[in-house]
Amino acid sequence: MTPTPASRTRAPWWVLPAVFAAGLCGALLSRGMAPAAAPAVVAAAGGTAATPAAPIQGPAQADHLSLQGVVVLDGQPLLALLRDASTGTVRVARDGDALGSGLVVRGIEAERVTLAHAGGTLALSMAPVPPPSAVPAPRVPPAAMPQAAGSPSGGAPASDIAALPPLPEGQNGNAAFRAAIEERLAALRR
Amino acid sequence: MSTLSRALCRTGLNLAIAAGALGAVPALQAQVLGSTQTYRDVVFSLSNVTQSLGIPSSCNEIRIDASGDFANSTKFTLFGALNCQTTGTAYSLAGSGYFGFDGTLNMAMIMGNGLALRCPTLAGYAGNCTFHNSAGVQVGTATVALKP
Repeated sequence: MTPTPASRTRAPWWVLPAVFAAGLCGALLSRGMAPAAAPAVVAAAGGTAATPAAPIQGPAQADHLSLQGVVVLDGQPLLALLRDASTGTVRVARDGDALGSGLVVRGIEAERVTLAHAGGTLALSMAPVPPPSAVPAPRVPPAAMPQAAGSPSGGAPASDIAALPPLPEGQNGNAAFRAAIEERLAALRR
Repeated sequence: MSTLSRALCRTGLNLAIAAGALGAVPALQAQVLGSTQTYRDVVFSLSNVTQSLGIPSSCNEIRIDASGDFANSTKFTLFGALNCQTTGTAYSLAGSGYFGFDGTLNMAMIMGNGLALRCPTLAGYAGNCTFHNSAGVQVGTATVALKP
């Protein structure tokens, strides 16, 4: 059968979506391979905005370094987030990166990074996450608190302290308080 | 020079004089250092409290200390309790107050149960107060008066 010109030019319906999907995949893959993708991966994995860090000055600076996180891709520790407390910055480092003045990243593990310097190596481990602090229970159940206009009470709110001892009749600070106010008002009006 | 130009120049000159005067005011002000006095056991009677608030009717006395520089200022802090003498209980109170040129007393306090008690423009140290919930919505009223 000899195809007509019309049937030769008509492609199956799925060709156009396939071409579009292939292009999209290619764009995503090339973006994933580019070095510029690293900060995006870090931001997604660590949740810490990795600001461009100043070079770390030397091995003495290692005292200020702490391991904030490790980015793992496909099961492989790939990037270390190193915080420099002296500058308050976080640096993203790969294995082999020179941190400045002789400090070099030599090995990134899931919760540990090894740094090499002229005097040997040192390891930084992730700080354990502290448990959430306990919150004291409220003294008055929320249901007992007035919530909104129209339905102010869900029960009688409890009073919270013991009563003050009664004052003998006529003994209070009212006269002095009133005198202080009136004296000040008179001074203002003069 | 046109009339409009002269008017604009005159306005500009007035503004400059006003700005200069405003700038000079802080330099003329003297710094006032005062001392704080505390008037203890300032006692108000509290009545006609909205029943649905659940505050017992025995809670009929606001007993507070008022602390401030009364010689130099019109503002002060308040702390004490809404006292329920017959039931042996109380609600803590803390807030602030001021008196205005018109002689009215204005107070606002947070109660221990989370309600806010506002007593604005008390003339003659007596008047009406309102209760508000934590959202600021008025949920009740009451009357206060400074005891003799």
